[in-house]
Amino acid sequence: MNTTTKDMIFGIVLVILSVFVFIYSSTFPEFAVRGERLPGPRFFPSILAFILFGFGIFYTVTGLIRLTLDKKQNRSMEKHSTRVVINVLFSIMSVILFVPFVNLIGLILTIIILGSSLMTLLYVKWYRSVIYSTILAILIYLIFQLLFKIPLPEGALISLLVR
Amino acid sequence: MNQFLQVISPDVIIPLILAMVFGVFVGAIPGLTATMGVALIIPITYYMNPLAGLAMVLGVSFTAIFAGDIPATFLRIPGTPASGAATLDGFELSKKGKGSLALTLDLLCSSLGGLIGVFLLIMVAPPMAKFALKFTNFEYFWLGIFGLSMAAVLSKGNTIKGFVSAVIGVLISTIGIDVTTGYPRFTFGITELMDGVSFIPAMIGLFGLSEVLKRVQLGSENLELPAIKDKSKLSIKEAFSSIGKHIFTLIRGSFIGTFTGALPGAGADIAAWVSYGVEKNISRDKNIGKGSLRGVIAPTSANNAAIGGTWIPALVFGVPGDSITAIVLGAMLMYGLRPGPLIFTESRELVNQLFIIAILVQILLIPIGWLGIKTFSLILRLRSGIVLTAVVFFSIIGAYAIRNSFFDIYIMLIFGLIGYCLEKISVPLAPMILGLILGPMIEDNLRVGLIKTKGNFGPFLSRPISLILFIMIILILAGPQFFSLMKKNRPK
Repeated sequence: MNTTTKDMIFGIVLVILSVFVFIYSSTFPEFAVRGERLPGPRFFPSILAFILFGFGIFYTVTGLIRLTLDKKQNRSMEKHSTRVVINVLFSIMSVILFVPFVNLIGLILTIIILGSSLMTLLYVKWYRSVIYSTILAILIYLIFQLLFKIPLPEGALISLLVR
Repeated sequence: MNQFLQVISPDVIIPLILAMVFGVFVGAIPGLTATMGVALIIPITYYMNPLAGLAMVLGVSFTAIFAGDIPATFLRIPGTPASGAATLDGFELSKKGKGSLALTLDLLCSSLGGLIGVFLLIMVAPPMAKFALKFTNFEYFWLGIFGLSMAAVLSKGNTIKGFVSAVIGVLISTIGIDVTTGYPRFTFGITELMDGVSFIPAMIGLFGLSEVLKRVQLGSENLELPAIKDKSKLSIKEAFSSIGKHIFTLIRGSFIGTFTGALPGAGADIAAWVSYGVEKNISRDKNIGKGSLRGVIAPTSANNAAIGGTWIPALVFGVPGDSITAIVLGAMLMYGLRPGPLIFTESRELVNQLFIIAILVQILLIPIGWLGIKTFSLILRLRSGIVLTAVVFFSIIGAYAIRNSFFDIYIMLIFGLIGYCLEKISVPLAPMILGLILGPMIEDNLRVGLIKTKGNFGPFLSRPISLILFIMIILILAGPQFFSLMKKNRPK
């Protein structure tokens, strides 16, 4: 995607965001004291929505003009290999999966499983990934659970097995 | 004396040293920034007493900025953005087999520059705080806007996008219960959002996770770091003699660094470039850029001095000087401390102890930095995949640990994705944090001011300090455009 298209998308997103903020904040109640209207909860978000709308229009219009004026512009597409997309997606997934995993199997096992998978995906040999993610899990456990006494979930499955 | 003894007690000094070691690690790994280091360490400090926590934050920020110069010198890869300017001459010296001299100079100049920055902070901050007591809602409103404008203008040529980023940050800050009326805004019925967006998870997401997402896109070759080439010995004696020869460069760099750092929105990276640029312009040394010692001394003394500078507006007005102090201000509020002019009277002891710690950090920087340089080869042996995975899990646990809330992990993820997408379209992230921090200050003071004046905006401009601040904002926003227009229209 070239810069012009990116800016145009940015502009459109800003317009949508500002319209949403404007409409949503208009549902906020008025603030009146002894019959006198004062700047209430909707006052400031409305101003911000107005500013963002202006910038959104600016980016959309300038993007459109640039596109029309220079149709031959370099449409260099950012080509991402499947592997790169998988890397990004798995990094996001490891955050999303962390919560259900940690609730089920506890912190240490979660970090070992998700950590070694992520490391392997990021070009670290699998056996090294397991070693390093185990060290990482123990380090995090020592710092947060033992040193700072933060109750980290031990996992439903683990507590069931221990009992 | 009692304050000094409290500072050097094991409860404070051990976490400080550990934080400095962590700072070396964060700074020396390209891609991990000092801001990220501070964001990752805040959750750990949350469970400590404020003094130890702030000591750790100070330790990480100063050390990481220095450590960023290590890969900058040996590998031509700045470890942190603040080391960008140090790369030029440092790497050239490395190519000539003088990499170790350059790094020893970096270390000493960082320590001395930091020391000058801290002394300037000690001298400037208290009288400024007395002056700041004259500020009312009207002045604080403009001060907040001033902070945002500076952040936007200094967004490296992305002024408009910087401003938009700041406005988005301010908008996010409106999420939660409205202080004046108690009405929940943009919470969509989610109880966790009633207190607003948790600041630390948001920071960790913006700077930690988004950086990981950015870097995992690189192919296997780009994720690898090249090996060290310079194996010459470190020489303190030679470095001291070089500093002696260029003492004015060091002093100049430190002063420039402190004052640039004190501008809201500037920070260590801009300070280093400004200092480097000034040195290049005023010095007769034509070797700058080709391996000059001046080219090493000027930016490295400036970037560490800038940290002292960034604390001036942070402590005096509660306005962060850069993204690091923005995070620190959020942390101070969590500790129950209220940055601003009153902190100098209400928590004078803590302020004094902070100053002592800042000086101590500069002294400790020399042995710890020395060890950092020595162990750099070990750190570099770790593959990026390992480091990035560690950052992901420290980010997750860091976000969770603040309130023991799984919801904050998702907040961190959302901000990570926002940061990743915004960086893809060249929108700077630092103004967003400033917006997040300054948003409540701007809104509260605007609304309280308008309530006081019954909706009349006049007093916002008629009071002398307000007017000066307003004119400064106009000059900052319009100045660069005006000068470039003048330059274009000048007859040839």
